[in-house]
Amino acid sequence: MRNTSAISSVIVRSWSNQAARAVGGRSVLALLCGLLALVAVVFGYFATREFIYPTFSSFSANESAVAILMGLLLTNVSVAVSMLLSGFLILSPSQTALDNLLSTMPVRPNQRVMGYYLPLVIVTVLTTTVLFSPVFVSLLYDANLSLFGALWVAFGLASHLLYVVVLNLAVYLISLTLLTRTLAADQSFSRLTATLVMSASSLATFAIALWRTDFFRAVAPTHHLNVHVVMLRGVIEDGVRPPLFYPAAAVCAVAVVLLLWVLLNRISLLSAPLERPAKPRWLESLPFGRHGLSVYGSQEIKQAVRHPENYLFAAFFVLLSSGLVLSSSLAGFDLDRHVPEVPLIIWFSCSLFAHNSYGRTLPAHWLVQVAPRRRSVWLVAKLAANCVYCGALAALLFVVYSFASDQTTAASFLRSLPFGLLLVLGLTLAGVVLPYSERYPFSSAFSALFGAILGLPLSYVLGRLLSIVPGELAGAAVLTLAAVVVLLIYCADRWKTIVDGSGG
Amino acid sequence: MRLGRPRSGRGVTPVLRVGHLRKSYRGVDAVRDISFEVRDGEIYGLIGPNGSGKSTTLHALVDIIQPTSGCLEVCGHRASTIRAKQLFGFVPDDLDMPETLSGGEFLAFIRRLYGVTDTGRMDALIEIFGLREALHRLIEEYSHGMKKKLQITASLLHYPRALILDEPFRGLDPEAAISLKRLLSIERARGTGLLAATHDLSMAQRYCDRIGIISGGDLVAEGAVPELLGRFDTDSLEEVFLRASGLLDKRSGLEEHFGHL
Repeated sequence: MRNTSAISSVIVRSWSNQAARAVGGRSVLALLCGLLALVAVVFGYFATREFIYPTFSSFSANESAVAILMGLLLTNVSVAVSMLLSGFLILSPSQTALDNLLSTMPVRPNQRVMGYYLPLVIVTVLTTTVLFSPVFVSLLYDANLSLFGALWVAFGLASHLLYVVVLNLAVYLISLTLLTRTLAADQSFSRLTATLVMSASSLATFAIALWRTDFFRAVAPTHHLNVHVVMLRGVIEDGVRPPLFYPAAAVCAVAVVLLLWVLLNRISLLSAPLERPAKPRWLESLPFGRHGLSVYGSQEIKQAVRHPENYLFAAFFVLLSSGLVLSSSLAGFDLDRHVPEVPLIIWFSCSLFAHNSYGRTLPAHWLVQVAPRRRSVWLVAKLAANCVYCGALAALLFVVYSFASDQTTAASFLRSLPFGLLLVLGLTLAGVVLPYSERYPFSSAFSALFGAILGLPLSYVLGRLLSIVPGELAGAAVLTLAAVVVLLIYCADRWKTIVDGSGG
Repeated sequence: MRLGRPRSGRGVTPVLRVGHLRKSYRGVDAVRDISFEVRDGEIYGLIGPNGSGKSTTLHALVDIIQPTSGCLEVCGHRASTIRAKQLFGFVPDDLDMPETLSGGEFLAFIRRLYGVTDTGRMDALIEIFGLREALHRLIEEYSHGMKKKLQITASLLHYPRALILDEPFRGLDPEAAISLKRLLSIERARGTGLLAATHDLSMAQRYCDRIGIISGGDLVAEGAVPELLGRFDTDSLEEVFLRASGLLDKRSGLEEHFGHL
């Protein structure tokens, strides 16, 4: 446990160092972060008051409805947890400086894996708590609970959350171990497949639960993800239980989580030692030119394509989209009726690949030493590579969704292209300002999460802006906006160079 | 300042043993068949041209890469075991460090992993390499030499029985290089077995008890320095190196090109 906690604490320490380095001594950035946090809190408060509370509190009076909703929500928590974990696990680089260091230290593979997972468990539990607490509070606010009852519900929910996080991790690790050890599959392929297995099992349980729930007869199915409802029902419905019910239920909840944690620990003993992934042969033959822009551009595209988190996440999006298209086609689900603005969702997903490009090649860009060019050439090459990579991925997703949606035609791709490219530029700008490092597991995942949080309001504002501009001025507006963002990227890079230079 | 700790008598088992090591990447052999031993209180120098397999051998020994076949041991324990890892210290040449930690945090982390509670040796090493002022700074702000000093300090914290060094003097300033030479002498006197991969032939000739020359993934010559000089009938290790690694013919071809300059 000493080594596990040492590894966990050093990972957390590196995050705090990165945050302190990014914000430290820069009052504008600190103010901006504070402002963003305040906006998030205010937004959360109003969303709860105006939408979540009125929706869920209407069920509070009906105990059966509360129990059914609770069961569905607990299953839904597992879906959210699996999605969060997928993001973190895919975005984590396969080999870090810490891996190299730990492989020479007296640390067992399971201690290393558990050391990595512990902060991940804590972050996932905290994020899910923040996401779901307004819903649960709204549902139970008018349920007439005593203080003991409320505490019991909180305990039940917390143990459920821990249970689903550890269960999802166990599913991921078992799948990964099976693939790498038994089938000797490639590390990247195994990570992607294991993540898909984890997400798919949560989604399948949720879909089955939704299908088998009968609201009119107040019938909720019992399965492993809503067993806590049985515990919570005791409080919500009558509160009268045998004296040993509560301690026994509490011990069971804790024991299940502990057993799962031990299982995770044992499986991680089998995790194969990591090796630096070999460079795919076809990538070696990509062309290099003599001129600065083409040399940097081809290098940037090459880096974007072979960056583990990029190709893993791209494959994840494509496979998930293919699965959605296939299942909606088989089930006769009308995607266009239920999911509006598919093109914008695609562009938003694809633009998330732009945020990491700045930090990806900046610190150790060998071309800077062997082919010195103006910094602006490097920046232009980076922007071009980002637009090409994200655009190509978006085009691929348009093709995939075109099998189930009429919104994703070639014409709609061209129509949404300016919006998408602006979004890519915006996220690149965010990547220049925000901290990003590949040196620790999950560091880039945090950066991506931050990018996603920024990207959502950004895409909304961009969409609104482009919709209010008259058609004949749209081209000029897009060009102006793009020029402004590019100028901002240039200024941010200059500012960062000066600040980093004076800091170092 | 305390650097030494009494050590029990020297054992018969070699401190480091590499037996028929082979490592191939996608069918290409980086190391073909290398065998050698490092004994107590001995400095063993591994020299060879770029890409000859020196770093691969060291990385396989410290478990950063998995060997394709062969036997690797530290004091009789398989090199990938926890017991073996408690017995050696490793100073890498070009591996990334966790750069978002400060120097002090890095050393504290290493001490925690080795379970070292005594800070006397760490303080002594910090003073020797002049790291005190830099400990609160992030490693990413360190120069190459400073990182090397930090890695040497970290590798010695737990009184290792074997010290594995990849290009130990590269990037060090003259003062630090002098300190490192003194430190290596102290460690040798304590009975620590030292394995150093280096390109610095004069350093190897002066400080190594035995030398192994690697070329094209094979150990092409091995022995004490006087023995090697005698075998190749020369008084220069440079010539031994060129002849053993088959570079002498290539050198004579290159002379023509030098003439054009």
